[in-house]
Amino acid sequence: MTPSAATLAPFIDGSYGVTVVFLIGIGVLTFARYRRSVRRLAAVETMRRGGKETTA
Amino acid sequence: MNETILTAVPLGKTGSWLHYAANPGRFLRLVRPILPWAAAFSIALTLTGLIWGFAFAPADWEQGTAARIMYVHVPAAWVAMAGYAALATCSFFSIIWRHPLADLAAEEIGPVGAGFTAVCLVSGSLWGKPMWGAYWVWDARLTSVLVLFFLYLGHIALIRAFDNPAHGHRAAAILALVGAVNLPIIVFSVQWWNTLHQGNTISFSGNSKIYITMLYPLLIASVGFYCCFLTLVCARMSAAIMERRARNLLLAAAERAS
Repeated sequence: MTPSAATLAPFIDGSYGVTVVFLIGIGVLTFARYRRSVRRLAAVETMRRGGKETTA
Repeated sequence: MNETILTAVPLGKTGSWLHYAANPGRFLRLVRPILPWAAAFSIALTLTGLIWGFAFAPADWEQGTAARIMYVHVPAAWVAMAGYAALATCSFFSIIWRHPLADLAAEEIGPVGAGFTAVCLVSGSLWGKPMWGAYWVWDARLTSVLVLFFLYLGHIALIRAFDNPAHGHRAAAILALVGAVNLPIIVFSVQWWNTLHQGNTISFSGNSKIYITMLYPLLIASVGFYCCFLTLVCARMSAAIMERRARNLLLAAAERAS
């Protein structure tokens, strides 16, 4: 006998919820890390260029 | 015979493409402009597949609407296995050719692959409860996927367990290669043993048991998940390369100053 849609709804919603939360979570974390590393590298390169100019 | 082969394939060119691809700076130049487009494409494809599967795909004649869980469970399982295959391939390149990008890729594939495996296990568990009456059974397919999850966790832990990163990469690469034996066990577990988990529904030899209106959203969600995985791994690799470069520049500056 096929279970009713109302009985199944929490399981379906739960599995989609877990997936969406995971995808959004890992996406946001990866994007934040990527942006942080871009900014950090840019800052370090600026500092290095500044240092060279000062030394010169 | 051997002389003919040696003449046809010059030895110097055997791994030339490998050395070309081993340059982190070249990887960064290649990947960074593509990343925003890859991310947009992955999000669009995944959203289409998930919305189609959740709201518009037909219910199964036997399982009813519970079959909608398939559109998240199956793509996550495929990506989890493909991710581990990629991890094992990177480990092979790392052990044989000491490919610097292979180590980096293996390090970044681990957490993403473990996440997709966790999604596969949780969604499978939520599918199992209404269909089998239990969230978990020690079935060959479920157990082998749980072992895959532990292999991912072991790889993540081992790669960071040594003071010398090179030792960590080497130990984790050996674990990844040994663990690759689990992949055929996962795929064929439903044929080798009597399992509660259903057999393979989709076959590339043309004997698929899925109706076309269910196959389309499943394929779109799967391609979306694969693209998400690739985009995430490439973004994490790019971030790791930039982090290392920034650290090296700072170290060099500190050495000059001292």
